[in-house]
Amino acid sequence: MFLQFYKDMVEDGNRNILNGFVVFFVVSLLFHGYIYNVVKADDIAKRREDPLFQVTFEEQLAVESTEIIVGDGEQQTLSLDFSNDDFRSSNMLAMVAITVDYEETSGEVGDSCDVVNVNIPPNGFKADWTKEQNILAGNADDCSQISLLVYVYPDYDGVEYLENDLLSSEIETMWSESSHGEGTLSIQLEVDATQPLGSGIVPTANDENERLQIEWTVTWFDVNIEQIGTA
Amino acid sequence: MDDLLAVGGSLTFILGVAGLFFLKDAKGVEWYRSYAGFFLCWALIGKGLANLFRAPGYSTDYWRILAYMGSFSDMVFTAFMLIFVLVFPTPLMRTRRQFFLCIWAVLILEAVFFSLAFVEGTAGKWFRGISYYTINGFIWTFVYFKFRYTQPDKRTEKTESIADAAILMCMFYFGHIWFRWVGFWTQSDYFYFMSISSVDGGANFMWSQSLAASVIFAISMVTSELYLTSQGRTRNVAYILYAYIALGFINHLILRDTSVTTVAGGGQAGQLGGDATDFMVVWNALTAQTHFTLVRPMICLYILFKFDLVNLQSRNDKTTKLVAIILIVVMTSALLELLQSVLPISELVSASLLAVVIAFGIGWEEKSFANLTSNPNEFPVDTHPELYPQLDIDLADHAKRLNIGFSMMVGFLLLVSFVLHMIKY
Repeated sequence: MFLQFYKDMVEDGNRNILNGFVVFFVVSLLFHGYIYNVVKADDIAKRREDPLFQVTFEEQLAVESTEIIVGDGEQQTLSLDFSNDDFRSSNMLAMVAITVDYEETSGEVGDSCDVVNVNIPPNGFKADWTKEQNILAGNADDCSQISLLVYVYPDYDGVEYLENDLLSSEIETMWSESSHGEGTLSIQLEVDATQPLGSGIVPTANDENERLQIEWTVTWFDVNIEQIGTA
Repeated sequence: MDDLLAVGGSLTFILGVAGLFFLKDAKGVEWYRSYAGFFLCWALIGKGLANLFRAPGYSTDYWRILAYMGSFSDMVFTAFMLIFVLVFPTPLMRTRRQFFLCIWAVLILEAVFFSLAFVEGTAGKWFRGISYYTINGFIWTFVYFKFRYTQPDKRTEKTESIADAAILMCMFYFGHIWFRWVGFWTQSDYFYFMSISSVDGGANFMWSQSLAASVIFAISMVTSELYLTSQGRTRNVAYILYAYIALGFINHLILRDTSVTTVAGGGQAGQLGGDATDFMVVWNALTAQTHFTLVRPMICLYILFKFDLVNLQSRNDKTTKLVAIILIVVMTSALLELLQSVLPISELVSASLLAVVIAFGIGWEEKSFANLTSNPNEFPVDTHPELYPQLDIDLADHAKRLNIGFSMMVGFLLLVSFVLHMIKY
């Protein structure tokens, strides 16, 4: 079939040109083979033969806090937006850890700790919401600290590893998706105040709200890739 | 998300599907015309899917599905391109038996390559660099020389347009490599270090050789066109060829001291090396990546319509026109958006300038469509009947079964990708 095609293609007027093209093609391929396998062989071998990369992560922590007074039976939402954070330009967002502290502040005699519920709805913020280690809800009725945790960058655990299946640029791409952490992270805070002894009898003995201290620690990371040899 | 790759992938995919839609009732059309359109449309579907799967990047939970499906869709693309080159612009087959034998041979070859993807070690990797560019490019360049230098008494507009088509198909398939043609001769790192992902040394040589072949074809054709221009026989397509070669010079000035590690195309494959500057990234986006994502479907649109590979002449319905115009407008808009994003002036000013340009061009999409579909290029059956045998093969008899079969093949590959993801292969 190919021979017939060649015969059909070649005619008196273009035989030399077609043969010339084939000769040029073969000579040029030989040139390529010589450059690749002889002239640049060492460079290419060093660069190409299954490079082994060590992938490490440099972490930066950013801690901020605020205080919110939540009324009895009310719910308030604290919205966090990290889009303008100083770290954003050169780092990826790994996770956000939130702690809520409070103590009984009514000052009434016999007033025990209020019940505080904290909840993070999994929407409006691009995070790894399906990760099992996320802690998206917590509560306390003994003034103990409530801790929540949201993993943002998928598969990130901060542990260094070795890679020989991907190129350096591919590893870089894998850990440089800046869309993770975009949006607004909402933290819903709810207080159910316990009433002091004598409430309903003594008019002033009421617990109407609670002061909550919220602290959030954002973990940012930057990936470092170093070729440490060949696999 | 690589927006350019996503837009290009969508366009390519839609063009492929639309082409199949146009071809569904192509009865009585010459076999080399209808089958060329059919195979090219399936190639476009494969490439469109590959680009769409790669566009989100690999930093998602389901990155394995994206990675595998991207690779498998590329296999679909290359398989159909290999069949396509056997039919267009000049069929290699002379009998009905040869035709079906070729199709089966290519599909079996791809099935073997697909199986090899699961073989560990060198045996499973070598095929990844197999020289599709070399095979397709060689045949197209051969056809180009045949028809550009055909005997004067046989030379007609039809033979010249076949040579044009051969140039355009080379440009479509590996035009993004042509931006690096200087590096091949100057032994530059940015050419010889180009690679397809993690393949071993042997496969890298095969891949690099196919890139070199792409450059050799370009140089052969541009030399020929320069000679013909000096003889007063310039074709419009030659100017596009000159533009690519000229941009290759500039590209060399920009990249000569870098060691770009991966291929010059789009998406993940378009990532530059660690020593790339912001300007290099923008330059690469405007040249190689734009070609890889937007120019490729544009060239195919031209080929499909101008050679009437999708049976437009016998269809004169509004849907055809609408789909064609949508494709033209979306491609142009994406190109303008890309330009706007890199112009060193404010978006407000650049938007105003583009609005002025568009205002002057009102109605251009209708004109473009009319230009594409009126006076379609004919195959030189009258002067070269031996190259265009009339075979008793009608796409209408097989299209439905082939479409179902190929769709099941793509569905199967998607299922395999999902399974590989679940077992974390």
